[in-house]
Amino acid sequence: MKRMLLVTAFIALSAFVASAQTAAPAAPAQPAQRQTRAAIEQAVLQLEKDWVDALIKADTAKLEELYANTLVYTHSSGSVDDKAKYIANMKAGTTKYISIDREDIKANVYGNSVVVTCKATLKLKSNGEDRTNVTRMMHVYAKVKQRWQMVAHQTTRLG
Amino acid sequence: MKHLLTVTLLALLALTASAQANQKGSAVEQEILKLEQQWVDALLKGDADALETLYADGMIYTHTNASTDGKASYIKKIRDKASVYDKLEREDIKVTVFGDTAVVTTHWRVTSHSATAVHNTNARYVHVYSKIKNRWQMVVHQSTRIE
Repeated sequence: MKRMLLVTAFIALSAFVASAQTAAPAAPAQPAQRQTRAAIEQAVLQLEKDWVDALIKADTAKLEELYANTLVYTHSSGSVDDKAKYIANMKAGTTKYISIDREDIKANVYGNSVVVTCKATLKLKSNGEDRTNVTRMMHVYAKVKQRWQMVAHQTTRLG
Repeated sequence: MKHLLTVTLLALLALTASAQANQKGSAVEQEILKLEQQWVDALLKGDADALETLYADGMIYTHTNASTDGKASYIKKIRDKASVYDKLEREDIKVTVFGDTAVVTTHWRVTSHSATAVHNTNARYVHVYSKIKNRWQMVVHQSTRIE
């Protein structure tokens, strides 16, 4: 009887842990470390700068940290990458970013998420070919496990 | 023995609570999908009042040609029939919920017209919803043409 109870307790606990892990992305933000709106904006705008630097340096370790596991990355061509695919392409060197100039940067804070929009001019070499993409760029950051992470990127070409 | 019973009961209780939290996640997804359908219906009917409810005040709408509208300027185009939606099909709809934020990505094919032109667009859009004052509202729409 004791053994049966132990086994039941173990199974129930394991199931709980597993279930809690899968539920993690939908968990509400912890109010414990409540930041002011201005502090959040500043933190996210710094992450945006880190992201630009990581692209120029092809720093995939930094991108691993900046991107959420569920990232949806929509290129200006309308093609879509997830985190793994994007980082694999970066590692393979098929796309090399030369410069990224941003203007008209706006950050809007909504609870546990931040939307950043800007006009972005990206100079890059794609499969050896020079390209300049003038776009409107949108990033969504969400606080996942107490850390701001990019969950969506989308660019739309001007014209 | 008594302790064991207590532990087991607590574990079961926690398990139930967690299962409910999971259900809540999918309930939010369902709610967002419903709002997406309402948005499609509003565009096809040119129902500016429904859009007033669906869009948050600070909404940023980036069209496929990268021009941007705010809530007021977008809704004016619908009311004035400067932009009329004739047909709208969606596929590959994905909803990801992060607490009080939801991100929707979709492949859409849309036919719309203005006074001077008909537009056929094959694109991917992203929608961001935020729970503002206890109500899910769209804060971002951005569409990118598929080449």
